[in-house]
Amino acid sequence: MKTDTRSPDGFDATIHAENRLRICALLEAVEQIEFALVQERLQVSASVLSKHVSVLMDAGYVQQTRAVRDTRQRVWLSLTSPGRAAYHAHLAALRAIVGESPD
Amino acid sequence: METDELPERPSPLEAAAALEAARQARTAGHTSIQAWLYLVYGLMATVLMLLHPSSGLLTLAVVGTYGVGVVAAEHVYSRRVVAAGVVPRKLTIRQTVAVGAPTAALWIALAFLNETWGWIIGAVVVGCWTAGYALVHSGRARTRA
Repeated sequence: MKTDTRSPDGFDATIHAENRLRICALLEAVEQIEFALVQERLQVSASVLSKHVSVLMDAGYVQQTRAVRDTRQRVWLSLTSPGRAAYHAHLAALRAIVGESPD
Repeated sequence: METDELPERPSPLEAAAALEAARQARTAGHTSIQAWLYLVYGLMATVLMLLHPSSGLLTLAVVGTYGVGVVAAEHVYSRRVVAAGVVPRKLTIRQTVAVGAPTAALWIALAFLNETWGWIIGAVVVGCWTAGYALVHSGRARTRA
């Protein structure tokens, strides 16, 4: 685990980086999704995605599982419970900055 | 270039842009539970109501068959979502109650009424409710995304 990058209001520097925010947002919409699909839907390269997923995994926000399908190994990504909570808190902090009322 | 250093807190404009980026990414990821699963559950509940078993042995047989149907439907669903590469979010407890509670309440009411016409109407209502819920839930989830 890295040092805590969260502010008391929920603003999270680990999540805030643009690609990581997009990864968390996409993962929040599903239970689990294949790495290749995330890459395709966010239109990022495998290396960029891999780098940001590693940061999110180090923070304990994303988990990665491997499964074999059609003789090929597939990597699945999902948000952990702390990751989901941190993402929601971060969104709430962003809304507060914008001046929107929280959901 | 993104770094792991603590960034400055964003301005309202930057925060708004980040929220919009998150919204777009969520939309890109949004995947609804496949509608056929609701239809299968709705159909099974409809058949269960039409049969409305009253004797102990028949109840056991019908409930057992229903259980096998649920397991089979979940198995097929699981295979299909894995093949698609994305597992949609599960229903929350609140959503499960919203789709299941009316069926349970109707069942109890009809058990007291115990009229054939009541069971037929109940079966149709349950089928329509489940199918309608599937449409509304998918639509709402897409809008929220």
